[in-house]
Amino acid sequence: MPVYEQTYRSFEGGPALRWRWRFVAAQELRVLAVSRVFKFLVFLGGLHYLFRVMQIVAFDIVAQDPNNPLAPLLQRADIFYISGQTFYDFISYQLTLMFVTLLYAGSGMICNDVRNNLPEVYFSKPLRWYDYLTGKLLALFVVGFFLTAGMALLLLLQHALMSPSWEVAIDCLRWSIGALGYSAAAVLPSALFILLCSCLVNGQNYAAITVIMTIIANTALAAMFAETLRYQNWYVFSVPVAVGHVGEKLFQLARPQIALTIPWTYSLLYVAGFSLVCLVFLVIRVRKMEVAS
Amino acid sequence: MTVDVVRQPVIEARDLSKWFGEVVALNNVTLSIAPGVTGVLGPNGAGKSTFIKLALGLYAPSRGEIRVLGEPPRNNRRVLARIGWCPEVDHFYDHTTGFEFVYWLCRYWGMSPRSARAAALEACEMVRITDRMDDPIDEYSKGMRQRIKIAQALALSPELIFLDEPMNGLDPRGREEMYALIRSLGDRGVSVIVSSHILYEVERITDNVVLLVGGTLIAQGRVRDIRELIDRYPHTIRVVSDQPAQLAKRFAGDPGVFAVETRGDTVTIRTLTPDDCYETLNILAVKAPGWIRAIECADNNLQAVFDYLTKKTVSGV
Repeated sequence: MPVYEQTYRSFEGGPALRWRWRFVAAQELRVLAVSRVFKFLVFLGGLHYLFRVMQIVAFDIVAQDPNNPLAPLLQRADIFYISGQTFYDFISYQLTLMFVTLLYAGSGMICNDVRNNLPEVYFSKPLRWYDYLTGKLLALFVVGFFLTAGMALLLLLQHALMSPSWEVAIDCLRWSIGALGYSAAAVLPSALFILLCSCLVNGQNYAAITVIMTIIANTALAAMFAETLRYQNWYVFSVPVAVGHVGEKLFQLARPQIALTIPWTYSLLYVAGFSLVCLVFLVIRVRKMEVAS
Repeated sequence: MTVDVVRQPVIEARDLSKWFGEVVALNNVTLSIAPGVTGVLGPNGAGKSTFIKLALGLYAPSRGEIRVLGEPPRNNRRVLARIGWCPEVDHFYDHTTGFEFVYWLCRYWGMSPRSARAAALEACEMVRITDRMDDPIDEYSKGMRQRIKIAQALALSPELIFLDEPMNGLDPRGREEMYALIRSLGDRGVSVIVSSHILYEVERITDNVVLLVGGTLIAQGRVRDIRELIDRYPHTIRVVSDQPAQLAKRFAGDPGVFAVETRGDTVTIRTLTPDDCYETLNILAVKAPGWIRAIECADNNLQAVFDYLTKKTVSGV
């Protein structure tokens, strides 16, 4: 009977085997950080943020200062008034930019890897499909949240610091939850759907076109149903409308712009269901990439 | 009591098969590869890359099993953490320097930033690309891309390295350096599996080969055994000459040469004593340089070797 000699050392650990998705996310963010287009898009988001910073300064400091000659003017101007609507509007405007940024950042995330056969390289390392997918999603979430909830939270903090009172603090806390929820309701399905399209098609441009066309088709179908059946609630079939509906309820707006009579939880469930479907298909595709069979 | 002390194989395959739809890429391969440097030889489409990907756990076997470093590799982090792989095709991030490429793959492997930086630097030095490692990969030549791919496999200090066609794109000097590097890895106790379709390349690195053709294992053992097998068959040598008629005349009467054919400036010699022929050609090259412009050993082409071996298998010779 042969006696086997141990000719290689036994595995003694060393590499971090947990939370490997952080390496994937860090690499994606590093690649994005050096991109000029990405920097420009973030700069645009920054401009809007700066405008809101000035709005808060104007309302909290200038308008409250009785000695300031501009105070009466600012107090009368609705545009400088700070309320839940202000932060809802900020996030709503940022959502367009967030979507374009995610489209730029995410539409090539998987298909470019596949084109270069990089999944083989990744999965020949001790990296699993969930590390890969989580890392990619996390990178998009970080970007999406930074542009929406991140900036909104900074504005809320600024507002709370510039007009310190319990009422403002409680309002800011409530709006913070709204900002997080509204951003999550928008960023989550966007990131998942963009990544799914990146998984399904061969090129970054095709993936971006697929995402845009799907959203146009989705909204057009919702409008067609609503107008044909003369039932406005069909608009909730459009994901952007459903996200907006959720946002309005989270910020408890006095004058909602989306005229839906159904409970907002229906919109939330629809968005969650859409995200879940995207996630399921994404998991299936990425698992197939891990072990080609 | 006498015992046979054998080294634990780094790869063991039993009835290993892999098919993609109706295409059989690997068919009932049973083999055992010992530690050290081993060449996996085979013409294009022989199943070399499929075998390596099965060993890396990238493909699931359709039938049979494969064990790497004593364990099944598929989804096995313990095994994958001990393996390095240099893929055949270029896999690179856009707008990334060579150093960043190696560094980030070390991070993906699970190294801390400091360890990854040190490992990437060391690997770049090993493949002699340090002076260009901070340049974007887009600006690299084919040979430099090849080096940086090998660097990422070496950076992990693996116990077992798979190099899929590592000589592709390297210039003669680069090849020599690569031969030396692979041999030194073997000397250090690292097991290296090198796939190639050129027998000459593998011969420079190792004496242990696995021969695959059409997804089937047709031979495993020492290169010289295969050489001896080949030596039973006539060798074909092509010589490009300024004096083809005179060269043909020179070889026509040699013992062992049984056919000489001239076409244009090329003389094709078929011989059962190739060593004698090469010696004569070397002497001629020195004495009458114009006579010999180029020498090509057609039988160094692995496909010819496989043709011999497979014909032998079929005819039962």
